[in-house]
Amino acid sequence: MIADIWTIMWKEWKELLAQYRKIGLSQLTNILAIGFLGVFPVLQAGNGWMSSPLVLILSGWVPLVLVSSVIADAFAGERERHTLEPLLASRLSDTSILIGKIGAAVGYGWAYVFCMLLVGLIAANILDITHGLLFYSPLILIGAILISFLGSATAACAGVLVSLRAPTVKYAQQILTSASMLVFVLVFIAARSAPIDWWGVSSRELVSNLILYPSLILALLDSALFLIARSRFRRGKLLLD
Amino acid sequence: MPPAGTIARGRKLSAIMDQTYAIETKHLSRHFGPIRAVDNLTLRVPQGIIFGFLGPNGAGKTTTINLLLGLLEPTRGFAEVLGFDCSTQSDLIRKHTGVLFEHSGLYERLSVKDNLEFYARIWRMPDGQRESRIQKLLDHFALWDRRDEIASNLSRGMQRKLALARAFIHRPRLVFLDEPTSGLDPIAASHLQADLLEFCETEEATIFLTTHNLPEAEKICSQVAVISNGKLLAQGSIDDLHKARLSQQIEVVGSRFHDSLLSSLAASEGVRKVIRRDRRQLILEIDADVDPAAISHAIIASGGRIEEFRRTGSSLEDVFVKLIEGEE
Repeated sequence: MIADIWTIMWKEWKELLAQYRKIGLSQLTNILAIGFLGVFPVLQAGNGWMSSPLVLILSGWVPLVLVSSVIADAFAGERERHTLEPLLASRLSDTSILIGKIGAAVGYGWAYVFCMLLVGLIAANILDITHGLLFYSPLILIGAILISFLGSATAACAGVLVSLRAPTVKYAQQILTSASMLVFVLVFIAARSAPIDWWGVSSRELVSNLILYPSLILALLDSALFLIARSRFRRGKLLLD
Repeated sequence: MPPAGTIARGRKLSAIMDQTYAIETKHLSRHFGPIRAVDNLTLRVPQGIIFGFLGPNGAGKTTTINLLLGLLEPTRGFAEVLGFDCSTQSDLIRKHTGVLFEHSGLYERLSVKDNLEFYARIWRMPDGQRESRIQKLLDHFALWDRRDEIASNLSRGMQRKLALARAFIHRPRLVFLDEPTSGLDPIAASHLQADLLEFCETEEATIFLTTHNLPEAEKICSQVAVISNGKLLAQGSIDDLHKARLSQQIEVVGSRFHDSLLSSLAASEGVRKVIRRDRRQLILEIDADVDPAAISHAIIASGGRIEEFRRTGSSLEDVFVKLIEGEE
């Protein structure tokens, strides 16, 4: 099963990277977004960005947008391009196909956040060379890694459910992009109403809570969404749909 | 006592090796609400042949493939593929079969080679074996020089060949080909048929080929079945079908076709009609079970000279149309 999952991930990653062979508008947007999301907050917060709780919010939300687009292509796109049929007629199990595709999308979202954090780190060090070598506070870094992983998984599992019902890739992507924008607005409202200095340094306890509770909620949500996705991703059902 | 896994593996292997039929169905049916996509299909496909599954669009050909691959559950009936039960052992069936659906289903953003490599990985072929197999297939289908190009750059005919190579990548014992030449121009279709014939001989696989292209079936299939509205109308060799349904028409070109020869032929058993088109051409309508060779002997014995002798006018297309019309 692990080998089968890797095989699916290998193919998904190959397809994703193949898109970057020819840089189009969406690829250019993705590359520029890494630069913007990495550098802009550093310009706003200075070296305080390295321990700002806003890193956590950004690490959770960015993969939501990216992964939803990738996962829609992986499911609705395969169906639209008729590549799903031979895959379903192969020896692979439904679960390994599902996990492989989710894994590849999560890996993509995660890698993107890593790049974004790295760009932020480089920008902070270039802009503030007087304080020596700067690095993210360990708690913020662990939180960013955890939340970006769980956020990617949420987007991927929700994306599977939407894609299985969507008639086209575009439709699935529109639904998922709208949903991620809605999440952004809700998080923005919640963040504004909370008595927290998002751009500054927060207490260790507050940061721990900001990691723990969202992580728990996301983990539960991911488990539920994955179980539903697994029950819906069945060969016979997919063929009939 | 051997471990359980050994017995299971032994059984799986013997299931493939021992049985005479690659496919066997009994009263296989699949209904979608009131529509009977496959209706009471009883079919036997011997091992090692190219079997044509003929029928008009919407006859139930693709649904039958999906049932045989275990991708759909039958409403009623039973099917066995390579000795495995389609309802309970579909994973084993998919492990030992290859398939080419009506759409090539290639990853157009991936290279030609990567398209094959992905499926070779799916079938867990070891690295060295994978490379040599991919090279052999791409060489055979004249795609090796284009291995690094993305699949979308290939012509439709070449894409079809690549999809065919993909279906054979893991040396399956049985390959399902759903309308393999559909949408190809006659030259590309003819090349693909030739490739397919040559390849099937070297691979020793059973081919289950669906088509509504009757000349194609006549050219490459040794046995056929005709299906319409989900029902099996006929099954057998192409000759069996000719014999079962129609009289034969023979065209003879030569000389010395005297009146005495014509009356002697007309009086022969099984000869329905003798027409002299001109001094050099005869058209004979004979019963389906009459051996045309006997007619040629009779002509020569009566003093006629034969330059050309061929069966005409009862192509598989005629048989097919008559069967479908009969069903309707």
